Formats: sequence, structure tokens, C-alpha cells
Amino acid sequence: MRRLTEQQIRDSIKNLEFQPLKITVEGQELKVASGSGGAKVAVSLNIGWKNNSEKFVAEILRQATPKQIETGILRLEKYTKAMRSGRAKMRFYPLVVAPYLSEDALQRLLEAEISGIDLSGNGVVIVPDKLFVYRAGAKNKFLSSAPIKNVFRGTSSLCARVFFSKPEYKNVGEVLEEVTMRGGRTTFSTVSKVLKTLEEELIIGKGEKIRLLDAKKLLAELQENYRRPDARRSLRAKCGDLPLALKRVSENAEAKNVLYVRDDPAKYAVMPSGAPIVKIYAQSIDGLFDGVDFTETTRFPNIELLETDDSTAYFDRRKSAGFYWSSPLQTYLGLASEGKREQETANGMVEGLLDFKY
Amino acid sequence: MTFDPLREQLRLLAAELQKDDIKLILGGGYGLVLRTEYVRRTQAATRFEEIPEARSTNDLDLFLSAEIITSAEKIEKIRDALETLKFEPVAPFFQFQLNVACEGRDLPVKIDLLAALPETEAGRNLVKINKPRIRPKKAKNIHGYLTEEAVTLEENLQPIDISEEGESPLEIYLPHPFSYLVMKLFALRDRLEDEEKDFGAYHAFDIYRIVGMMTENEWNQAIDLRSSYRAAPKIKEAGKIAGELFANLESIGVLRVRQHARATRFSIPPENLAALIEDLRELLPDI
Repeated sequence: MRRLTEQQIRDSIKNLEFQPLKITVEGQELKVASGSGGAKVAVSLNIGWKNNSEKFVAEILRQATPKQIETGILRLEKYTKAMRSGRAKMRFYPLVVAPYLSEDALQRLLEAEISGIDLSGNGVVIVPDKLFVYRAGAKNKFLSSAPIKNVFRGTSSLCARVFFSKPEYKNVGEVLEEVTMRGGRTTFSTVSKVLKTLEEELIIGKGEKIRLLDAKKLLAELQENYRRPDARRSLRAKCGDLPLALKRVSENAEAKNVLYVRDDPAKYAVMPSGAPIVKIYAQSIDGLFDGVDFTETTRFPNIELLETDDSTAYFDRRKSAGFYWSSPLQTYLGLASEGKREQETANGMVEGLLDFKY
Repeated sequence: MTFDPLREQLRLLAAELQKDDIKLILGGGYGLVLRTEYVRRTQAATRFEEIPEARSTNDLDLFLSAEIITSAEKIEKIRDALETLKFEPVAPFFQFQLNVACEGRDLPVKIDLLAALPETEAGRNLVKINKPRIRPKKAKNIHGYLTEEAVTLEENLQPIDISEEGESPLEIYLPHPFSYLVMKLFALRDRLEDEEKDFGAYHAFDIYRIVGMMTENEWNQAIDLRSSYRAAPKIKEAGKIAGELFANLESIGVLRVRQHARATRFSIPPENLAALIEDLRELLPDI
């Protein structure tokens, strides 16, 4: 579904329902401010309950991203202040109208004592000391076809991931360079779109430089949207001489140009486990294991190979002791998506990631 | 650490019997509790990565070794130790009970004495059997519950130190996973239709747990035990039970495993159930 236009949202306001309140549109073009940008118009509403009613000035948001919410709050504060101090000395309560308001958005509005109603059935209406109605949980009826569906998953996430290697960039081109340098393949246009979404989410700021603003939120989003690399084939095996097998793996990878990483949390964190099996992601198991002496078994294997072309597995891989290892961020995301013990290990890596120590 | 009356009584009994050099073999649910703790503490690489929490129990299943069940003098030391600790017989004279005060309540701690049939003719001549009871000839007021399937009980016993910090070592022994598996297969078969015992679901899940906690070394020992005891009737019978109850993913044993897992909110990776079937087939083939 395409994103609603402002006019479509304005047209929908007259049908707004938020029981037990009664909402009526007073005016579609309330002049709320004027300045160098010209006159600003907003919608004025009347919200009634029992024998009471109050007037609200509504700021329409096409999409309630965190950035849009913050901008909307600032605008509404400005409007209501201007109207109170204007000639007419009108009292309007501030209200945001959007196709969908998430619980986070509602909480933020609540914090700012600003009302918000969406076209999906959620909302918070506040008249200090008089009225408080809060309703959340309705699904988004207006899922838009955003420029990129999920910037925190898959190849798109590579642009977001580079902010844990370097938190500041001169421009979009430099972000693209960083992604490419760390083994990712993407385009200028994709990077640009991802950065726009990250900016809307208030994760990065785009002023003179592109800067990471909220590393914690970025990490949480990456974690929430993480999916393990999808393996089209796997092999669990026992190698009699594991060090020799690993040496051969490394040689094969170089000779045959096979992309691979060894996934070992112990490289970056203290893992409370005995003798874990060696886990390797590779583009080609046959290529990597050519000439390696092994017996395929699921019973007490000492090596596991997973064949995948998923770029997130190999992105930002690190070379050490003749081997390529998963990046610290990828290792963290993998651990955080597993069981309790792995999650505890992942927790031990958070500080290092947020402080750019890896 | 919260007070565990079972462990406390086990320690007291082991300490009493250590004076007479009598070896305690602990099976059943509490044996698996100690085994789970051991595996976690030693961080051993096991057959399955995730080991379920051990289930709670209120009894101690103590197995009497061949040395004890054939000696009136030794088994009576156990009787005396139980008396000293104030245990009273509830099922004369192989089940004993003591109520232990714990957090303002009286918690019953039960001890079941069990014994395998002596392996040799000479050993069998030293015991008196009145099924289900078995005792050394001349022993008074003490016997074991005859557990004929405990054929490999004394093979590859696993010593576990149950002493508290700062105390001198206090060892008891756990049966080898192979022995455990055989006994649990019989227990599952016997409880399969018993609604009061949850249709044996916890025994089925114990089988999953036992296989899951096996180390590579124990697996290899189990393969050796399979070879050594392949002709033993009870091992053959265990193979038959495994073949019937764990033939495939729809078999009743596997369903019971899943039933208990669901009840305890433990998520079993689907490949582990296939591995369980494969392992049982290899360890206890239905010949």
C-alpha cells in the first residue's frame, strides 16, 4: 500500500473514531503560524465527552517516525503558544494525527503531554486535570511500501552495521566506501535510502557529517531484526586431525577463492562451554573441504559447515592466525538470538560494541 | 543456596556408610539431578547442546551392589545407618521415610533400596528371592526391590563428590548412561498406561535427557557395553522396548517425550528427536 497523502489523511479525519469521545472537525484550515515560510494551516477539532468539550489543533503526520514525532511536537508547541498569545487568545490543545501511532510514539506523546490519534484505532487524548484516554494495540492498517522494507535485516543492514566500526562519515559516498571495504556489496542509492530511514528513526543525524546518535537503539534494532544466515546445505563431521583439517580449509579457501568465516564467540567473549565444535560458514562446502579427511556424523562432531551466500555472514570478517572469523557484531547478533547461556555471553559484548572497542 | 533435604539426607547416609567402606549407587530422578549438575559444572561436550533442567523428586533410589546384596553383614550396616538417621520403613523393608523440617513444613524424604540379580551362580546362591524382594540369606529387616533389568548396573560407574565446600570428599556413584537407559525403558513401558503416573511421560523425557547428556567417552563405553551384554535377556528385552516405543517420530515413546517437554515448556530441537531414535536403535538394537 502506498503511503497516504496529507490530503487523504485530512479527508479521513472527519471519520475519526475514538470512543467514548466524540470528534468533530471544526475547520480544515486553521491558520496557526506565519513567518518566512508563509502561513501554516492546521486542522482544528472539537473533542467532546459527557457534557464537556475542548478544542484541539491537529498536526498531520504522513508517517509517525520518531523524527516526525519530535518535529510534530515542536511545531505543536509553537502553534499553541502562538495562538494563546495572539490577538484572539484562543486555547487549543495539541494533537497529532497519523495513519498509525506505535506504542513508542504514544508514550513519547504522553511524555510531552500532547494528544495523538491514528487512523488505525490507537491514541492518547490528554486534557490536563480533566481527561485522559489511552488506547493501544490496534494493528497498523496503513503499512506503507517504504523505500526499503527493513533496513536492519539482510544486505540493507550492512549500511547500518558500519556505524559500529566507525560512528562518523563525511557523506553518503564515504558510508558506501566503508561498506564496500568491509566486504559488502551495495549501491549509492541503497545506502542513501537506508541512511534516510536511520535518520527518521533518530539513530543517525545528517548535519555537516553523518553521525551515529543512538548506538543502543541501533544495536537493539539489529538484534530484533536479526535472522541467522540461511544455510542451503550443512555438514557435521568428525575430523581425526582437526588442526590439519583447518589448515587445509584455509588453503582451499585461498586457492579456490571461497568466501568463509569461522564463527567462534570465544574470539570475542568468554563462553561458558566445554569443547564447542568448530562452526564455519562458507560459500561452498565442497570447495572448502576438498581433500580434507573427515567422517560425516551428527554424533559428537568436531566441525560443522554451513553453506550460504548470505552476505551478512561474511561482512566485516576479521583475519587472525591465518583464518577468517565472523565480525564481532555478527557474533554478538548470533549469540543474542540463541538460548539463555548464549544471551548471557552476548551481554558481555554490549559494552565493547557500544564503545567501538572491536 | 536453598536447603535441599534430599541432598542433606544423602550426604548423611553416605557419610555413615563411608565409615564401613560401603559404596552408594544412586539412580532414579535424583541421580539425574546430580548428573545434570555434574555435566553443567564440568562443561562437558554432550550429545545435545541444550540440557533440560532436572525434574524435582522426593525420593532417593539407592542400588545395592552385588557385594552388598550377597552379604548380610554389609546390608545390615545400611539398615543400621538408616535407623541411626531415624528413617522408618514404609514398605517393609525396602522403602524408608523420614520427615524433614524445611521452611516450616515437614517434607518426606523417601529412600528406595533396589538391587540387581547377582550375575553369577555363586552370587545367586547367597541371596533369597521372594519377588519383588531380594536379600542376602540370613539378613534381617532389610532387603532390596529386585530390579532384574539392572544388568549392567556396576559397569563404568560414575563417581560424584557430594561433599560441601571445606569438607573431606564424600563420593557416591551414578549408573552409566547405558544402564540408566535400560532401566528407564522398562520404567516407561510399565507406566505407559498409568494415568496417575502421567502415562510415563517423565520416564520418556528422562530417556531423552540421558541420551542428551552423554559425552563422547560415555557413548563409546555404551557401545562396548552393548557388545558385551548383547546376549543378556534383559538387554534384548530393552532393545525390543526401544524398538517398539521409539521406532519413529510418531511412536508412543517419542510422543511421551514431546508431551513432557510441552508440559515443562522445554523446546526440543526437531533434529534431536530423530537423533534420539537413531541413538537408541544403535545402542539397543531390536534383535
